[in-house]
Amino acid sequence: MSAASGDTLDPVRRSRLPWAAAARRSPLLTVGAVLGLVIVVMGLLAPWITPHPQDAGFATHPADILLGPSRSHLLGTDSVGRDILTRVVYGARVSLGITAFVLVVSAVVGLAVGLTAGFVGGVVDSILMRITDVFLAFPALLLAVALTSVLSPSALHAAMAIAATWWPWYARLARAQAAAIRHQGYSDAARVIGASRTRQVLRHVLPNAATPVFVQMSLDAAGIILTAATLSYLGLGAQDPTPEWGLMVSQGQSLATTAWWVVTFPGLAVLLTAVACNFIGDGLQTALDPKRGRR
Amino acid sequence: MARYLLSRALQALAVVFGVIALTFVIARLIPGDPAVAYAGPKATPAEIQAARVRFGLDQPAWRQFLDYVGGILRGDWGTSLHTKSPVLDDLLRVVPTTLVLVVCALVVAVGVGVPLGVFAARSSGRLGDLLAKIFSILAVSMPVFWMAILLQLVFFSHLGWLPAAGQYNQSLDSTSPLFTVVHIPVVDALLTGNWPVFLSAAQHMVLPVITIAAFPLGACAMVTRAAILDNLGEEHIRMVRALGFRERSVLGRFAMRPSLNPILALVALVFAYSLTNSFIVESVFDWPGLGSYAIDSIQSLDIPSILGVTLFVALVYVFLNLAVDIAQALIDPRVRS
Amino acid sequence: MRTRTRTRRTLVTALVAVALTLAACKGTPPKASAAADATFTYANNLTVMTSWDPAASYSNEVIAMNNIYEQLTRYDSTTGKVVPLLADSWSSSSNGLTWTFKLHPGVTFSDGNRLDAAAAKAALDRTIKLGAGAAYEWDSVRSIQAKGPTTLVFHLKYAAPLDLIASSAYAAFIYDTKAAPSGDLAQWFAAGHAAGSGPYVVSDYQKGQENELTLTANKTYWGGWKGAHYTSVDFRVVPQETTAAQLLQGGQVTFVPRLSPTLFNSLKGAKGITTEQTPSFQNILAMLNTASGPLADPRVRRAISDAIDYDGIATALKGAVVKAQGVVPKGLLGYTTGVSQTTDAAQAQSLLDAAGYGAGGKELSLTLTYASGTPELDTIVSLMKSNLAKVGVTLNAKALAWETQWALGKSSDPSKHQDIFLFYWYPDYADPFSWFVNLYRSASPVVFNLSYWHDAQVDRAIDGIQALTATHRAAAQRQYEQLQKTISEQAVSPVLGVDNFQRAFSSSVGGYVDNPSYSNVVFVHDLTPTS
Repeated sequence: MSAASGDTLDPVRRSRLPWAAAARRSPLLTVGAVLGLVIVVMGLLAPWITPHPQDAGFATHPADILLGPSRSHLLGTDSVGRDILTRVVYGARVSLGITAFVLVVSAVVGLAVGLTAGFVGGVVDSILMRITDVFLAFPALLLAVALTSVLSPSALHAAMAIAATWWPWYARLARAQAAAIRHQGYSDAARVIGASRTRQVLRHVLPNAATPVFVQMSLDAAGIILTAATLSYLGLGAQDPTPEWGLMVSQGQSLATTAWWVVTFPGLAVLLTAVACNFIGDGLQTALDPKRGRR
Repeated sequence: MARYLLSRALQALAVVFGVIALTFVIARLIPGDPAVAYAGPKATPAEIQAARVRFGLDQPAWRQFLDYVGGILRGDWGTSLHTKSPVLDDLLRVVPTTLVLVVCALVVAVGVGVPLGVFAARSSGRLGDLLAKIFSILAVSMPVFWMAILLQLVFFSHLGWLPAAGQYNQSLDSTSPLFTVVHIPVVDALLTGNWPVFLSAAQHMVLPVITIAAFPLGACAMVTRAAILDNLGEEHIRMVRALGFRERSVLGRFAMRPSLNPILALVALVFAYSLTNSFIVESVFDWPGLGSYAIDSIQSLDIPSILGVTLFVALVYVFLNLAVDIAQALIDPRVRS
Repeated sequence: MRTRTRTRRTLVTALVAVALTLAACKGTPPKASAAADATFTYANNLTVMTSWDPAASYSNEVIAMNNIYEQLTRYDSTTGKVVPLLADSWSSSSNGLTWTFKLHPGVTFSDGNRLDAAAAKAALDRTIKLGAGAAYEWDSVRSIQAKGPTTLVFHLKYAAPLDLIASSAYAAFIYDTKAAPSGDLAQWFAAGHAAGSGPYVVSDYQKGQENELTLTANKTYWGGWKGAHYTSVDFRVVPQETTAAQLLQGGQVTFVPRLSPTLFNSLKGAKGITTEQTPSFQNILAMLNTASGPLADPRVRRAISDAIDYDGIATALKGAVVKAQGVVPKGLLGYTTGVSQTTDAAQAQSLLDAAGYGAGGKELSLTLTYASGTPELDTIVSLMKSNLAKVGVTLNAKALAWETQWALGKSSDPSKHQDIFLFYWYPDYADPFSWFVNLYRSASPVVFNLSYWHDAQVDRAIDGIQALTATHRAAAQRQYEQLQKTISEQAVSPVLGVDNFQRAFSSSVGGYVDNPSYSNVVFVHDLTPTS
């Protein structure tokens, strides 16, 4: 995902556009934001808005298996009789939770490594950046596969594995920011007046690096959601009965020809969530970087 | 120039070394004793000790690491637990089959994605641009496993237009026997002029290729559009335009050329990504390549094979990036600075 | 394992070789087969050939082996009788200690060597000596004697139903012990060779490939090729049953041995497809680890057994599984309604409390392993998780490749053992002995006793039961009932259900009859291809 974006943001531009102006620039931003908001709110309110909250957990109903969509089960039931609507809604919690975890961990680690490299420079910079390259060379899915086959598969381990492949993007971004800012006046000024290095990083460099990192994060959320779902689909992420979308698709795969609803709806949820994130990311980018958008 | 290439190659070498080191670390993290696993359930203590010596597990860690690196350089990537063959042999057997899919997918992705990006850039800010963007975002947001299953469901189960799985219709073997040349039916059929089998094989490739192509296609369209718009904004383009050139020739002559760089870089990047996407696609469409091999390895807890696949894809990524950097340096001298 | 898969061939060298190959093979197709020849394609969800040695074979390859090799007799499940195969007739002495088989004269192996009494003796002697796989079936045999070319006499240590044993799907094959040119038969088999008297011979084997095995007609088959027959048999590995069903509809496979209930029901009435449901001798067992971990405590095992909702499993699997009564399925000696498993969550809870796992006690978390690629087991595992969660037990389930699941289960390192091993069992011949000797008789090293159960009294009862079966069936019945009672009381292995096989095959297949004592085997030569 990151391939397509975020690479040419002007490092020192600090655009602070009002939301309305941003939305005007990119209609997709509004659509994405509304869609994203709906998904987040659904996830948060899941226990109160789902018809069968117990179906997100250990409940099973052998007599009600593989019922098609109907009034009592709007999206049908799965192979052990659980309500799919309930599980899809609860699934938002799992996917968004994993995404938040990965984003926070990789942003923190990435910023720490990138700022150190960019600010200190020299040999430290070279070594840190080569390490970053090594992690960058592993496609996210594969490192996650290797890690979860060593650790036991679970949602947390999958999230850790994804974070391990995601932080390098932030490290690179933060390093570029730090290096650029290091040569800027205000940092030099701070140095002249005798501010400590740590203080400089905290007061000046970090806030400047933050804006492009946020844009990057919103674009990355889509990639993380897809990777997490793929890992669960392969059996390397969340385990049954966790209502994880990828896992639900894999549980329905063998039934696809006879009970299409079991695979269709959880997969659609993944698609819509990823689309929402990409709309938001793309919209933010257009808004912050007018050259990319309408001229 | 030579200096740039040398330093870039040295960097790549350092990354390769790091990649190998990382797989070594992961291998060390495995709980349990690989010697016990290899020697099997009926092993005596002496046999386990023998296995330990055989794998060098009685050596200190740094020594084991050197042996590991040496082994990989010599082509000894360990022995697969589930096929009992050397991992590198397995990889060389399955990779060409996967490459057929991935290369076709990338050709489709570039062939459709670049024109789409050009179209979007030309109609920048208008409805066409918006629709192209929505299409591209849908393509990059598609969960591969789900798309594969749905395509199968729609085009095979419901419409019956395309075959579900496999490499070609094997009942053709009796009427049009296939000569094996490179052990990839579609290539074999093409090389030997076996058209019935080739047609069948091509039909079998449609759905997997579309599935793998989705992500690179969307990414390609977006990058192409962005690169062209970046260039269109630049001084020399404005000059050309001010001189009264028609839009088409501005795009074709001046804007497109510098846009090749990001597209080239993107193709290298999504190549490795597509290799991993082939995991899912191959398992859904029963395509016997790298992905099926990786899935079998995962279900067999076959760590040597999993690490072999990981290492292989990572190395492909590093070398492709190096190749792209070199190509870019040759095309555009500005990159070197 | 034949060179094809082993050869390392890079793309470049292969492409260089193209021109040469093309020039060399123009006009001479590698598989010279006429269009009219019928191929029977069997879609299996797992690797077919796990062993090539007919003496040691005890796994998936049985579906291929029974088309390559033959036994002295065959068990006809529809009549419940043993019928002639390589042996035309047989008789036993009144004390059941001497059995005489008359072989069909003039039979040869596919390699041309004669299949006479001496050859049969040599094959069975080797099987017994190797003692691998199901060779235990012949434990009662003291010696085998070849009297003339067609008379084979077995002298037994104790009475045993030898005609039934000789019909076994495993370890009863008569193969040519002189087939290996080098003399090392085991190695020759391991390289993917076969030497049987059956209707088909191996024509192509590609280890680990989707098109794993191709058999072709044994032109010299003694049963002859008069009339319409399938002249080749393909075994194709198709892990996803949806794919298998689609391939069947597309006419690319002929036979899919097992389908999930929904898929099966959807294929009913489909054009060109025949569906068939047959009760099997195959049941699903949850082998509880009686040797180590929390389940070593019989109270905890009992609790697990009481917590499982057996009726729920049968309901959810809609006709693919029926509730079990004891270890022995209906239709076999030893079947009893006297041992039944009941679901009682309250009792499970109080047993757990007593064992210290109740409210305020220790947390109980159990590991379970099962073979991947079996949707039926996926559903059962989901249901078990739900059942056990109700009594506060966490179940960590892992779907593994069968080879891996089994390797971990029989590992010499007990720390690798699971708490619950989920798998299927079916008898090797139409008799319940297989369950008891394999699953419940103590064994070291462990092979299939995956409950790690050890009870000297049970061992003794099992050791004596075969003789009882040959001479005193009523006593054997009582003995089997008693054994099942003990196993049930100790909660060694809750039986989750008995399978109904739901198969689907092309309507062009004529004459298919399911024979549950040869689980999943299709005797392809018996079929008639129609169009």
